[in-house]
Amino acid sequence: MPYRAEIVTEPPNAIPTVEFLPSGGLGSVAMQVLVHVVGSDPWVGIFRGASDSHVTILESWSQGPMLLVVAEGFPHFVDTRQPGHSMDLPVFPVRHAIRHRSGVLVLADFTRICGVDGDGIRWVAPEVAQDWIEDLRLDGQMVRGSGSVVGTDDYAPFAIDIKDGRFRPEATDAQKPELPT
Amino acid sequence: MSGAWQRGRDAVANLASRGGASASTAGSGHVPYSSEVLRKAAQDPRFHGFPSMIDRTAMTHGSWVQRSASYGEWGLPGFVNGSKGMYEIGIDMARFDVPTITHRFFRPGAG
Repeated sequence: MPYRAEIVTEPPNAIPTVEFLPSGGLGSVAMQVLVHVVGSDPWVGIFRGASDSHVTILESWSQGPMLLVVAEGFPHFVDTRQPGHSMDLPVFPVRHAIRHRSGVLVLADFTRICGVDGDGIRWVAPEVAQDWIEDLRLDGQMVRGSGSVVGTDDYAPFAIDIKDGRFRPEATDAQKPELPT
Repeated sequence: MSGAWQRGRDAVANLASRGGASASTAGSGHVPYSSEVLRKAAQDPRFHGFPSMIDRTAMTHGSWVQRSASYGEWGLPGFVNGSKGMYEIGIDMARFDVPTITHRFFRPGAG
């Protein structure tokens, strides 16, 4: 395990802190995490969010250096070896977070879905909704859900392969949502 | 864009820009909102339930894209909580008794 992460309420003294801000603002502190990195000094991450959703989670992996904190919807995807650097994720605000048994964490906002793990971003799926994703769930190797369809009140089901983020081959065109142009 | 469609859209925008006189109690007070728009606004005030005065600005100053024979959208660049994005106001001219806003969304990162 390359690192170990634990939520703390009071950062220990003498351990350096790194602050992570949401884009566009200061935000409020949503979580403090003490990170022990194998072969390196520990550090404390102070993760701020902007109340963009109710999703606040800490996700770590037994393989790879990446650590994810979603702070009130804002995703901070951090290389634990270089805590000053975080990777931008293509989903914001995070409204859905589901972890697959393979370790891939599926994240979704209103229109987009991506898969991440301890090594980085695994895939980014095509847009699946105009402005709303509902009923996101895992089904074996697939991510299923429904996406709002442009210009209607309808929702179209979608199925995305957890391995690569592609639409399932057997999904018909009628099952795919009409995408915004 | 057909002439009738253009006239309808202009009428809606003009109504919005003047402050409107519709009896609608939903939405902007000028152009009604669909039930789906209201549902999303209630569940997500920040990105779907922004102030209705933005509708007026988008309709008068935003860019316009007609996506189908009866549906089109205004787009207006803006910010939410310091994050850049695009306000989208979509209107359906045929599905209801009167032109109705069926899409309101602040798309983060767009624009």
